[in-house]
Amino acid sequence: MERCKLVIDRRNLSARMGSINVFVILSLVLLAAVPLSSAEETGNLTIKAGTISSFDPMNLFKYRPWNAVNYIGFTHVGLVRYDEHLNVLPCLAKDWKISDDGKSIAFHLVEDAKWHDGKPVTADDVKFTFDYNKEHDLSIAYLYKKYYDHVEVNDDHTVTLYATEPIGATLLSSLQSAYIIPKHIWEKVDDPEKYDGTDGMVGCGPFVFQRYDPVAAEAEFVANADFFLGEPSIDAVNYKYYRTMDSMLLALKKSEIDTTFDYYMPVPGVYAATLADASDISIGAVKDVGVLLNLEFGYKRFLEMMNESQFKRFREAVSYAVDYQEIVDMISAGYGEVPGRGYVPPTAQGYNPDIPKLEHNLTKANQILDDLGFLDTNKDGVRNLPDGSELSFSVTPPTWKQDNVRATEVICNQLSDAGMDAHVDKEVMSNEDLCDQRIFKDRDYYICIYYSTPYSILYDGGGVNCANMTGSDGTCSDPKLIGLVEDVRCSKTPEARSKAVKALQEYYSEELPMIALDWARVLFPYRTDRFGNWTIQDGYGNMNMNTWFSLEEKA
Amino acid sequence: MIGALLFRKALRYIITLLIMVALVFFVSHLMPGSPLKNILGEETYFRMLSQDPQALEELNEEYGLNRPLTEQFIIYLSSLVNADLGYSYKYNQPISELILFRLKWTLLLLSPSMILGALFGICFGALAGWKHGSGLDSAVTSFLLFIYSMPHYWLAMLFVLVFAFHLDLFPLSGICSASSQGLERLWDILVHMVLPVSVLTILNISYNTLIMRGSVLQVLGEGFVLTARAKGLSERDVLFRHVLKNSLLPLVTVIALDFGFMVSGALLVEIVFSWGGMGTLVYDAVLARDYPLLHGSFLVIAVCVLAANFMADVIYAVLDPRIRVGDAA
Repeated sequence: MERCKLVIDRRNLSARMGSINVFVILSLVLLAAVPLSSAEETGNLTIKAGTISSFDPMNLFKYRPWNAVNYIGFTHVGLVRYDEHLNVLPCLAKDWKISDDGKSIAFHLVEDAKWHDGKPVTADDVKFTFDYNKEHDLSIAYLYKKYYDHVEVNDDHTVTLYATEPIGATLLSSLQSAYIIPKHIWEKVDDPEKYDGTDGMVGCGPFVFQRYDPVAAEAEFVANADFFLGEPSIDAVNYKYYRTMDSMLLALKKSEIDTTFDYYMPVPGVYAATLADASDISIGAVKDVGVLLNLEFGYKRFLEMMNESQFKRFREAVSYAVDYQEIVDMISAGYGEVPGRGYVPPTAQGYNPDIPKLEHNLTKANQILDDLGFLDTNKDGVRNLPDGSELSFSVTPPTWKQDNVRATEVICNQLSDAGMDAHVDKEVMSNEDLCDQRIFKDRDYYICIYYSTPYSILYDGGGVNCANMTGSDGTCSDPKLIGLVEDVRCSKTPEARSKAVKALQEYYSEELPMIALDWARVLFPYRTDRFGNWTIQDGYGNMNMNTWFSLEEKA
Repeated sequence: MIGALLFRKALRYIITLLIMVALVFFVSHLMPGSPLKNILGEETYFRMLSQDPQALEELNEEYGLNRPLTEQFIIYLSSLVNADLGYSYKYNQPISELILFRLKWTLLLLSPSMILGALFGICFGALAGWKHGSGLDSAVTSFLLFIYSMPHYWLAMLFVLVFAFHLDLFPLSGICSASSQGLERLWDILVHMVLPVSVLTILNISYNTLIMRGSVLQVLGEGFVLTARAKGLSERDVLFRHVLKNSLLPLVTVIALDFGFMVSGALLVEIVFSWGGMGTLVYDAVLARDYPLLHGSFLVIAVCVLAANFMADVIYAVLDPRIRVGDAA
């Protein structure tokens, strides 16, 4: 009886203790979430932006997203900036001169620029930025690191940047993303990628870091009244992190946020239909600066199968076998256009509108293959090469990009309609390491369904994707292509660069070393009921440096 | 006697934990994909893979990724001995800080849903079992089986769409709003908790009810129930004083096991509600091949699951004298 009572008492005690424990845990967790002091109130004209790139911790040198927001000019800015059509404009540098040999640029800095902590921005900060990035091998501004030689400080507000190659115009354009950092803060930091001090967000850009709330996953920035280009027309910007695209778009529809934002991770076209039906929302479809999907030929593999002249005709046949409109409809939900043979999209500097569009024409594709002697001799539905072997090859997608995998399946079907046995590269589908190795390290594929980022197009007109040369991942070793890509990279002036890009497009059109599959219009949806007069930038949508000054509150 | 029993149990759990630590370490390293891809960013990583593989090798060396796995495991074990979980590649933060921060938010979701799930599960299960074969039993069992068969994330999305988006009764996602301060924030967090806790609770209720119903049905056939009825006890007394108490034992194990399953089950619910807890931390660690974070997270989850099971063993031993006697014998 006594023992029974003891068991019952223990049971009661256990139940009570359990309840108390749960109550204590809940209370502690809730209390821990309550900030000890209230944050400073931000202004009324606050843009709320949603993103699906997590931004914890607050570290400028992490790849995303502070690098991404600074790309559009936020807490930090570069020597130059872009206008809405990506033309280079003055920013921290009020003017510049590219040397005759194209290997150096002299910049005159604005004299009234101040860091957010009140100290002046000087030429020493500019020199420090470039040296610091090189010394610590930081992931931002890959291009200028690669070609950067040294910076000479001429006086407090004049610097000269020296490159190792004559790449004046290309370098100038890339400096938009070379955010200048304050020497007086970072010179004390030995490991920039692990630094999480709040002064790490001190820049001289139009917005000042206010606070970060890790529980709400939200960061607040207020307008910089001392910004050297003038005070922004809005008071503050809040960034909120959403775990999924669906929850972010629901928040947009519900007016919890005013806009979405991310660097070259636009809202997929499949969401367009649901957004188009919503009131007070603009889909924000803008012409892409990159190429969302492309088809890259693996020269090494195909040249083992056929000779060079056959391969050139074969590429032509492939270009006719692809149904571009089907791909635009499937991947971009119709928000795109059939690309041109010149590959680079219409937003690129030096784009040549006279180059014809790609054409889906199965009759022409079959005719070319017949002329090449690639006939279906054994009547099994697959064409045969002159030696009797089948015209069979794999198509490799980057397995981490679902749209590319889907497009690969469709393209294989389209090529099969012209009698080619094109099949998805199964070996890489379950092995990401092998996929990376095949596409980038060994470059050992027949066809790869890849893409060109805006950076690839801005850098060398997409040469990085198709040329087999230093600084590129491609497989085409044609000296003519390599020369043309070098001409684009090593342009001394913007005019020379436009001319070089035009020449490169003509080569692409003639030789088809790679084929653009979708000149997409990328979606950056935003609300139109609270703010008007957004400035829409090619490729990057409504969130950009120009928007900070053009926005107006709606009555 | 209980002391010896607990000692043997504790020893068994420690061995289990060591095996789990080793398994998690080696299995996670078998995943394809390099952590450097996340550390450097895709564009830089691929450019280096293509143009400068030597520099990539140097980075592998710097992060210790090219050392033999056994060597990496020994280093990992020695860090664990020093209570050092390491540094996250992805977040550039000490892992212990990250896990402590996230774990409390997962516990905040799990605790109420487990308690409510258990209480309602016991009630509904007992009722369905007691009235087995009746219309009530069929209705409760069929409905909860239907709920149980729903994918967690689908139910969560349904709740978001109906209660947060269309009816606008609750926030869409997140733990709280940045604008809330002080006591207002407490209320804000509670409001944000309603939907995810409801989803997890409903799923818990459905599972626990089915277990409890089965247990009650089994106990109903025992001799002591017949004896209780023969003594002339009322049906209510038979149910609450005899059947219910004896049916609870299997549920104790189930709830302890639930603790582990809930962390993984809550993952999808955390994702749908953008709830920054352990589930999403593990998910991010897998995507980023952040091995130290993955090891640390699984270690903490394993410790929690084992601790819950250990507690279940203790409660079992306290509640059921036959187990103490059986184990001692």
